[in-house]
Amino acid sequence: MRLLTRCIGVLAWILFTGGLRLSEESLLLRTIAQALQKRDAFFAHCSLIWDAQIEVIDYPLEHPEAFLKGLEQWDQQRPDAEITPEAKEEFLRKARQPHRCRYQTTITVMRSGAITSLKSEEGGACEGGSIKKVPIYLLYNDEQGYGMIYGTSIHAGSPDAKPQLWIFRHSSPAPLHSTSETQFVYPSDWVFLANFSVLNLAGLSRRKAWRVVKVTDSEVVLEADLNGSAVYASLRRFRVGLSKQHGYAPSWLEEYSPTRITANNKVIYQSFPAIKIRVLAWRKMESFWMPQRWERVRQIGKQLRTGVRLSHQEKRIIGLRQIARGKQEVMRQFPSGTDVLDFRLGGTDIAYGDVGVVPEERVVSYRWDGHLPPLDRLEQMARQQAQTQGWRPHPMVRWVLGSVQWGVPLLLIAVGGYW
Amino acid sequence: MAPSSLATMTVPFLMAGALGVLILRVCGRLEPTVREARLLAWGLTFLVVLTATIAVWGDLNPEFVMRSSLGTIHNALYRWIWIVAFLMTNLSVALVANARRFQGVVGGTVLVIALITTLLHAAGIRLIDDPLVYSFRGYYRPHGILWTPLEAGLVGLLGWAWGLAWSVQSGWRRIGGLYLVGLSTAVVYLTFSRSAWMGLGGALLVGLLLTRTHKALWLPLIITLATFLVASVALPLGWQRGVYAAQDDPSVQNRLQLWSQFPAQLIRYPFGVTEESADTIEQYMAAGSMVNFYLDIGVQYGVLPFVLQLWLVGILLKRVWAFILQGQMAGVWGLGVIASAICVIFMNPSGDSLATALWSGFWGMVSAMEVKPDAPARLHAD
Repeated sequence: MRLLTRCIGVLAWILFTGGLRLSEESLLLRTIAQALQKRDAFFAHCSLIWDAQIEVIDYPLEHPEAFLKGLEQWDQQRPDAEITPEAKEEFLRKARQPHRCRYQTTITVMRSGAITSLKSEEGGACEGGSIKKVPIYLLYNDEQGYGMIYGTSIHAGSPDAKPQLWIFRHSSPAPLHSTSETQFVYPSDWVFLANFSVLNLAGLSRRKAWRVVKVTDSEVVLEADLNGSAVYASLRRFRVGLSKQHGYAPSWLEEYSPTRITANNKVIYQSFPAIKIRVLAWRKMESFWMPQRWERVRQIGKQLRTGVRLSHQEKRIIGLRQIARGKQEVMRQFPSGTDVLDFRLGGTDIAYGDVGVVPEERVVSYRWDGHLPPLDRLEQMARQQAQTQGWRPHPMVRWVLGSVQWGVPLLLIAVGGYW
Repeated sequence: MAPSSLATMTVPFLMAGALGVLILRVCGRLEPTVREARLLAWGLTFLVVLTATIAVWGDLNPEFVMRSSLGTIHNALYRWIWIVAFLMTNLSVALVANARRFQGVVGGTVLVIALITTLLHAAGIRLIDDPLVYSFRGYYRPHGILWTPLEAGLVGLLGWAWGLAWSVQSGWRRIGGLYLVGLSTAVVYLTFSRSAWMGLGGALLVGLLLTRTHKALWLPLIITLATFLVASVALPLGWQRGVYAAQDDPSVQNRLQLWSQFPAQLIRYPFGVTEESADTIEQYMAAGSMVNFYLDIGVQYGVLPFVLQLWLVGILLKRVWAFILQGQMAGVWGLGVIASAICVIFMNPSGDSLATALWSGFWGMVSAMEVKPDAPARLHAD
């Protein structure tokens, strides 16, 4: 009787919750995870050189006059400065025509166990058909939980600025972490550049966020949402197609940005992907498949009722030039004497774009001498920095300084009274 | 009327007190002993030099100054620096010869450096890397080591008056004075600061009165006009700058709009607008600058300091007018006061401690020059 009750209970659970389907789904996900993990481990010690053909298109501004008006309103707060009529004309002329730039670059990726690095030359702002390339060098150490970003314009905004090295503290896997995103290399890029497991993208696997949305004879389509909780600050939807004939290696990936959030907290995503990656040709390394040639399109635009209006599009065709497997040491080859801004004392998983939230006294600046100071040494350096750069006077001295603003007029009044 | 706490009323009362002392001193009601004057003059000189040095250092290395206590010291002192510099030179010129010489040499040197760096800036050589650029139709308005072209124009007026005063003397001072007149006029033109142009124009007209008693003044005045004309022919864009004022120039419209709000602001905030007393952040921001030195005192410190500073400026201008009527040499220096008094109607140099120290120190110097009670009124022979 008890057995019968239990059987009826299990049957009811299966009927009402779709438990069988869930079991199938989780089984499939487990199979995929294992396959991708093996593949990830296979490529854990390798160096890859990619050739990239890049085309950048900045489309005309939708309402350049309104944009200019906004600029002028801001400008009116400084009555002594102005936007000249010539500058306005120049702005409107440029804003009304598209800008198209093309350039080539080489991307060198090295994986050595927990350490991953990427070296490249990336283009800055596209104007008048020309684009200035700036060197970038990223290095992540999963074991020690840090990320290093070296570059010029990526930090300072101007391609002519002095290169700097910024250092962050990250939780694993650092390159795929959503806070590791820079304007040139996105976490989803690493899946194709370095053959990381796509399931680990942005910590989605750990959060069991992946769900099966479609299974065909040739592929499995998975989807996952970053819902903005915990360390993930931005809302994002990922959709990936895993090729069955290529051992569940990702054959395409799409990343969607939110367009709005409804009153019942439902996120509505844009109908077009902000990033779209597609494998164009495959290559087999022993029993594992990897992309030989792939395309990545990044687009910024606005969702309209009648369609999509793009403002920026960047298209990359990336082809494998060379791959070498084997253990090798990834060197921290940053130029000696480079200015370093170390944000590790500011917290773990501070996003690259959010460095402004780190308190000034927790940002340690020093010159790169080839060695990364450990955290306890960094604490010492922060204390020394506070003593030398930001001299904190004795409270008594601070009180005297504060009272200077009252002291000067009081002195004058007292002297006048005496005279 | 906005509610005001004791803390927000303290600064306006202190400002009124300091201005009151200044007025009494300029009127001759306060007569310190030489020993007392020396002590105070040197003490105030130290404060002015310290504040101006921090300001210049802040331009060259803003990060260091902001991070160190120098920034705190500057923030505590800068709002008083115009009163301190005024009293400093007033006491020195009247009573402390060695402080007067020191201030003359340091002030003159800084003034010449400010003028030369402005000329270099006009030639494309920037000594201070400031991302903010002041331009007019593609022309970059120079300002050298000073903050903006407006301050550069104001300091140009002071240099012009200094040059005039030397050019009516003899020997090397005459030659140097004539050069200084030309250099300063060129700087005033090149800054494209219409407030400085108006100041120069007003002072030129008044200066014509002085030529009746100081014939030697004709030459520097002609050099002024000639330099201005030659510069405007070489760089005719300046004429468009003048015409632009009548063509919906946003900077003119903004000034008019801000000034029209002044009476209402003064009634609403009789003790000045502070962050605490302002109804909205917009009102506090609007009180940041009326782009008029006199009105700014009213908006920032309230009715009493506003009235007192007008009183002080009134005394000073009245004295300068008396110098001119009596044909005194001090009248030539006074032309600098007239020019700068007109100029600051359209600007407020208080943010730039270096320009403020030079301008206010100049006013203090002229305020210490005495009207000769027995001097005949030479311009009115009858």
